[in-house]
Amino acid sequence: MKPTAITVSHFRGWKSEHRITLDAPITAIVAENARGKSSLLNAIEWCLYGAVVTQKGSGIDERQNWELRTRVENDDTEPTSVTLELETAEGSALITRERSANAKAREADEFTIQDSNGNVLTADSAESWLADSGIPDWETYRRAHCFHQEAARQRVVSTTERSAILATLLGLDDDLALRNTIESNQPSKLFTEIDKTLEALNEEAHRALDLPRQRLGELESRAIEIRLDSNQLSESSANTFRSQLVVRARDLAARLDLTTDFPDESDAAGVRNWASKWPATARSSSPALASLEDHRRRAAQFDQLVTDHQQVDGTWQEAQSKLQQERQSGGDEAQREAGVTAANAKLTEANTALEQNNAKVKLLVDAKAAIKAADHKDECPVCETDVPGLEERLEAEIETLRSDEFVALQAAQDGARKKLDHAKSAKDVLDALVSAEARVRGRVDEQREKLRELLSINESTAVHDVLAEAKKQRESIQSEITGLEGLASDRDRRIEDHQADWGQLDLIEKWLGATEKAESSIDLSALPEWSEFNEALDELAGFGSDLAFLGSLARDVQAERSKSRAAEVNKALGKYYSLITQDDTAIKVSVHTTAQRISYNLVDASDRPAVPILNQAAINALSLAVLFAQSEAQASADSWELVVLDDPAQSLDTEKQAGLARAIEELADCCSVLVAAVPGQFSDRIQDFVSKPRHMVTLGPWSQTDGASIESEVDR
Amino acid sequence: MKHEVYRRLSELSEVSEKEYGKLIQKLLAIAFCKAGAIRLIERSTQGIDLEVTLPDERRIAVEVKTAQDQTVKFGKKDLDGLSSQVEAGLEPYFALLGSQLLDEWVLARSYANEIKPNQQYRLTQLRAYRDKELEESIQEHFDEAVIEYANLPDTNRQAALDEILRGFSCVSIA
Repeated sequence: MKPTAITVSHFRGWKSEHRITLDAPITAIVAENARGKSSLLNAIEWCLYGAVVTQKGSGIDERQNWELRTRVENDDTEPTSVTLELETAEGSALITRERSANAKAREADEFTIQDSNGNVLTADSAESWLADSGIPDWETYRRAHCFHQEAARQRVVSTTERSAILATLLGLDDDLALRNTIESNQPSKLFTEIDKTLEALNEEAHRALDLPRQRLGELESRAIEIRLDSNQLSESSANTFRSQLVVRARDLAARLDLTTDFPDESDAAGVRNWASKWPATARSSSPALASLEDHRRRAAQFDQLVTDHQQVDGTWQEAQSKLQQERQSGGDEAQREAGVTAANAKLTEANTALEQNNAKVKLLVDAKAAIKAADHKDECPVCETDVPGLEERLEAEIETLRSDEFVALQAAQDGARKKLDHAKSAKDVLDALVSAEARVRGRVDEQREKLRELLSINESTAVHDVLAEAKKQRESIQSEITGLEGLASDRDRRIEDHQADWGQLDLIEKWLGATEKAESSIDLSALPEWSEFNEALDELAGFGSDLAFLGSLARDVQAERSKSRAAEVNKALGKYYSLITQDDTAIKVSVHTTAQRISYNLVDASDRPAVPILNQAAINALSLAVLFAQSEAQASADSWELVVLDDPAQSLDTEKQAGLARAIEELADCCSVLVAAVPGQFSDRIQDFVSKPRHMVTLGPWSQTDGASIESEVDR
Repeated sequence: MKHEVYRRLSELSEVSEKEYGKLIQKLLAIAFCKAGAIRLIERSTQGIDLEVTLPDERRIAVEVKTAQDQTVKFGKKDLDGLSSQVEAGLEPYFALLGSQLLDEWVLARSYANEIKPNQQYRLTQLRAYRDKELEESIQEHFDEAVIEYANLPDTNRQAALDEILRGFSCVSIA
């Protein structure tokens, strides 16, 4: 398959539509720099591969910031368009790529193929057509079908690039693609992931193991705290504890008259369930201890009544004593009553005397007033007896009665009143003591009655007998209480023992459980999930191993094919290198195979790396020779039959430029050559000294308004 | 593997160092015997590590490797040895044991040209070739062998295991 013509429009420096035929064995585009010849060659790449050739990822460093469309004056809105006319085994076909002038960065190009039957293919069907019709991919095209001056040196100097180009030269693109496909699946990464997963699981398993072990450690420390020997941490020891717990509890139950069920000693769960409840059962429902509280209550009653009685009795005795002393000191009630009566009489007497005195005074005052009124100072108003100095005598008498006599009578009255008060007070004191004694005596009687009731004895029992009986009964109750308290104390001690034993049994059982858990948690192999997981891992490992094996197989095949192709390729390489350089230096491809990779190099006859010993011109020549050998090989494989050379003569001396023209002439036997060159010796050689038919295209000066243009086209 | 087995193997690895691989080989031989091997040849020095006639009369040649770092490398001699056993009618196997808690024996069939000499292989990679049935037939017996016999005296550990192996009527120790 080969292109027979190209039509460009608004591509880089080209504006209006131009068509250039490519069907001659050699097509030469001759122009000074910056007239659009390289753009024309690039147009083929863009048409076939699109955006990739304009990007840094194109593998050509200079393609950064590469503009698809150069802005010129009066630029219109016509799209960028390149059409390649192809000659295929089935007939003519057209490949067209268009991109609108205002297309956004992410917007796709319009890509169409018109096949030999006139069908217009787009999108996936167009891509399929490209793949099926043997058009090389971009990488192969870049390595085997085009020579860009800017990439010439890199093609042979860069170890990686050189190795890849030589692999292509050896026709190993398919092998490389296969290896890339296999290795891109990264079996080693898969194994790494599996190993990471397993490592994480191992860590998890260790953690799962450590937790129960940590728990065991804690339980063992706790065992020491509660005085359990390490050799007691066993099933047999647990059995002993269970048996001991039940036997001791049965004994306590008998002492407490408890009727309750006990678990079978061999029933661990039953004992566990019972043991935790037993202390509450033993404490709460003992018939033997049921009367203890009654006894204590009765004893408390006794104690209270006797105390109260003793207290009241003491108060009574004190009241009696005081009463007796009062009687002795101040007389009894009758004597005090008589004292009051006598004092009352004395007071009455004094009152009477005083009243008589007052009446006498009044009479005399009245008499005096009558004398005065009658104006007979010496005449008695009653008997009319004339008494000399009567008024004065009356006055004197009144004075006497009002003063001396009155004072004496008043003093007598005060004395009588005081005596009466004293007698009354003495009587009141005695009455109060009598009353108090009677009140206390009543309380004594009351207490005694209560004691009688408590003791159930009749009223006739004497007081001291009541108290004695009370004391006797109190002692009897105390004796009962002491016995029952001993039993309760014994019960409490046994419950404490039970709880201690139960605590130890509980710890042993927990230790046994933790031990079992520690052991069982590690036996993952018993889990169905583990088995399934392992199967999945095995499948993954199988897939990874298959990939690794296929990769290894692909390497072996590639190495084998490399060897078988090397001789033929070296012949072509030698031929072109010799033609270009006029030098007999043998340069050949060497294959270096390791377990992991295959690499290719250019070596001299002594198998020493060739590139480091070559000068720039020789490197360029070698780069071209490699390309020509590649193109020849590709053409002979009925693949792409066009090689594109962009200014290949640069840095070659006159002799080598002549050699290059001869090499191109030789290559044109196998495939078409499209070469761009500046006017000069090399272009002249192509034009005048090459025997193959050639189409010479000369470009005119680039114009700001019209872009690139064709000045002349000549077939020779 | 069971924790008890892992623990004992870890201890054995610590105390036995370079001898560990040979001790494991002998414990594996014991496991094959316990699993009912009809005939077993165990070699400590030269040649293939184990030749076993299994209860079903299959004959296998086993190259035993322990993998402390989860990788193994086979010498050309090992692979050639296995190939020669194939010619003698034995099925070639690699017996591989890692050092992790979750590891079990990987008994992997050896296929000519798939395993390359002096190349490092991860145990994971060789899982692809495992013979699970064979692994399962010896797993418990290996655990038993470790628990019973891995607590070896400080000296002459290999001799002690050889003595135990001699107790099995099927065994020849080369």
